[in-house]
Amino acid sequence: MRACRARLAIAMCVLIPNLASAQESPQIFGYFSTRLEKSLQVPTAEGSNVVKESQPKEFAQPFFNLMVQHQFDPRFKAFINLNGAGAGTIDVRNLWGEWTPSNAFNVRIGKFYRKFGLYNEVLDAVPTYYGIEPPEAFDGDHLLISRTSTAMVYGFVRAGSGKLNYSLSTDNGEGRDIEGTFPVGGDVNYNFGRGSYTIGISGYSSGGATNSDRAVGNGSPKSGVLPWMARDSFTVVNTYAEAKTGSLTLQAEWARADHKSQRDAAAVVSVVNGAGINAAQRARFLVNPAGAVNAANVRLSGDHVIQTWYVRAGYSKETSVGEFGPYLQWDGYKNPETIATKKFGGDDEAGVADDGVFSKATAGILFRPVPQVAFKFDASLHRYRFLGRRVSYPEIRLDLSYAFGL
Amino acid sequence: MTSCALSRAVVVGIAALVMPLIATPASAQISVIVSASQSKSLTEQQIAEIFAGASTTWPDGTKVQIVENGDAVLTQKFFAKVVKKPTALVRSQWTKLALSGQGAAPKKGADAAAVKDYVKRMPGAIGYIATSDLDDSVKEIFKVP
Repeated sequence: MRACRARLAIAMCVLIPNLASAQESPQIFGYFSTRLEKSLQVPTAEGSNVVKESQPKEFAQPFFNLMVQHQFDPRFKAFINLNGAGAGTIDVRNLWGEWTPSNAFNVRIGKFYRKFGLYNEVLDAVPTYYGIEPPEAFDGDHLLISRTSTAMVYGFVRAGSGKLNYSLSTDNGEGRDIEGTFPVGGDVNYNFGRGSYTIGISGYSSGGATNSDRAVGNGSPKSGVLPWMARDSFTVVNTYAEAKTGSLTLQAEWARADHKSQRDAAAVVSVVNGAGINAAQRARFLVNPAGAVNAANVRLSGDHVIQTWYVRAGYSKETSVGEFGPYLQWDGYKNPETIATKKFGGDDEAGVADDGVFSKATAGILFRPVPQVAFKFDASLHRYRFLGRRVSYPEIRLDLSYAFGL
Repeated sequence: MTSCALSRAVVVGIAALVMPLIATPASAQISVIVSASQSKSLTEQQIAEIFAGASTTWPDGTKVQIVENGDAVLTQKFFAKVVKKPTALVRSQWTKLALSGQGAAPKKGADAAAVKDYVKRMPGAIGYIATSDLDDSVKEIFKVP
């Protein structure tokens, strides 16, 4: 108890002078958001036939992101990002501190979104980008890798007429079993033309065999490893480009994840028996798809490759009533290993397709009557192969967000 | 006076009242300013990168704090000439940086006096005002042609 009080006193001595010398009070800001989604005429199986039925609309409860940023000193900064989802829980999305000795070398420690491609760091900035759905690489149902990391060095050097940015990060790994792994993530990009153009490459290595952060039956993983894998050693490579010329924004990104995996026989038996998998998935999981579903019949080698890409375009038009931003997006995703049932760790897009492949074309519009408020409305057409046929279904979305403190 | 001539006179009268309000700020030169005590200097490209949200630090690594001028016409002209992007896109980029923790939320100065006051007090702050509002309390590091 005495030791505890002594530690508290020392902490106060350190903290109070820092607060007193702070240049300004912490900045508090964030946004509220709510969303409506509805899928129409979704193909479903009725025996060997395809029938279409509309799914009930999903109205997301309003949620908020509350952020606090404090620049203690020109070279020390802290950031907190709290997410209130479902109006019932508070999730600490980010909590980190940063030391900036120079532009070429910064250190960030805590829980932060890794620098990976164009979107991972900015996905919580919903009111600011074109579109509602994140790129498939960071869709919550089928992440390529976990979104957060714990230690990073990053910076930039001037090169030619632009800036060469780099980052290198490590963390505790994707799964529950982290023995022997040393995960490393990195990003290098070149930004030029007064900040208008960016080309870059990101990468990640699990640094050894790991497994999923979720067990089978506990929902979609928040990492890049599927729950029925006993061990999985994987790498991800991602290339991207962005051009912001005048009022037009163009983006393109492609990623590939190579998994050297071994399935957990008991977990696969549970999936085959309970998750309602399709014939192609059954043939992947079982040595003899027509045979008994038991551990001896499970195909243990689960090596697979996931690929995803998108191209996106948005245009900003300022008018007397606000800003209008029409946008077009085309996303693709391929994962032959996943299944449809989310409860078992699958995803209901790629997992529904015969071959784990789908594409999504989206057209939408953003309207900002004032800078703090953003309405977004868009419609997508999902296309994939189902029961041997090419099928598609439309989906509509509406998103309303209000940013405060900015 | 015919109704046509009356209409013309009203239009000319309104134009005579409104034009100076529009023309004065639009034709004003703009100065990018920092605290008078700062020895910092930037190239035009570096200034463009900072206001475009592509750079959030000074050359010595310390964090930049942008102060936006409340004069909408001046701001629009500044973004068009220096950043070469519409105001809405620039603001959206600043918001994106703040909401992702990459940059500080920009401060808002209602007018030139407020911008100068903030820049004067805050090391690392950068703002823009009409050159006619410049005084010794701040330092001009770039004049927008």
